[in-house]
Amino acid sequence: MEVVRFHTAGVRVDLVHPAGTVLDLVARVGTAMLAGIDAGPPDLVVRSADLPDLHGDDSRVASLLLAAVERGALAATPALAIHAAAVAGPGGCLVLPGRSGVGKSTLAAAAQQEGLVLVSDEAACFTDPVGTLLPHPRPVALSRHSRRLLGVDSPDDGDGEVGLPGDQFGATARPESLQECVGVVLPRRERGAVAGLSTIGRSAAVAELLASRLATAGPSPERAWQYLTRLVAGVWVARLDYDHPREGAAVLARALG
Amino acid sequence: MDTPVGRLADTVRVEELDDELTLFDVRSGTAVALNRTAADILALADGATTVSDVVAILARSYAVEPSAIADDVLAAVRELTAAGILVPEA
Repeated sequence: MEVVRFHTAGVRVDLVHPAGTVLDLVARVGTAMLAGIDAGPPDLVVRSADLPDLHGDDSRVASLLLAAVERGALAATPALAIHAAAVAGPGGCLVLPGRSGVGKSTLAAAAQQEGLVLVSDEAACFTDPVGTLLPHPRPVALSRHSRRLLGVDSPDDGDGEVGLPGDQFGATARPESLQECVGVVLPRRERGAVAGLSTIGRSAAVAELLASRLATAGPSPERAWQYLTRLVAGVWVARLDYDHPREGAAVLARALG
Repeated sequence: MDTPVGRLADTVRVEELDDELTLFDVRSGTAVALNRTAADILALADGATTVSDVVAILARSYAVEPSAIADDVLAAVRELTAAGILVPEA
């Protein structure tokens, strides 16, 4: 058995699996989550022998193992995790909350192509002091349509959603590098929309963030609301309208200067 | 319109955010964003003030005729009551 050590969402996860092609794939696709040498002992151990339905080709098994690592990390993190993408630039980090399917991952990958740093395409993990983010740079999950939009489609990848190494599109945040949230941006993709930012109410931003809260070992809903209220009071909030993800990403890149 | 607006439910928490209010409903674990009218109604919800009183007070505050806002105020009171944010005075 071999161990691959991960560090994401503030949680150190050891994955135990037989050595071979699958583990090589896991390390390659999940490279942005690999723990540093001095990461310390694990908070959680995931043993592949304990996982049900672990069958299929090497690529599928590797995906299932990475999904188990991610699930374990998010369930164990003491952070306040919001279903959101997060990207960083010279001006700080933006959090982009939204339900599944709204286009967060595609927008995050496009933002990397614009030179921004991926903090996460799935979960913004807040910790103390208010506004501090723990990176969760899991593999970016993109549909075939999104892969084509971003120019990374390969005929070998198939039609379904594919998890791609975060560094395929650009820079990713190191798991141990804390980020500072400077803005909350609610993305809205509509055909024909002119890309740009518009004002939204701060209380609407709090409601959207709380509605996007993920179940973790973090704070209670009321404590989460208190945290998010303090957060929103100190950052700028906006709605991002866009059609093509690259146009939306360009707006984000300009905002983060 | 002579019905009391009610009062803030004990299970609702309120915080100010600039000139807005964010509410948290302990029962549902959800946050509510209030528009300006709803926030002003909440400020007047002491259990005794009626809908007519609220319309008159807000009309003076907004410098408009009461008839211009009566329907909006009534709709907002109904929504806040339906959401469990406003409850009858015990």
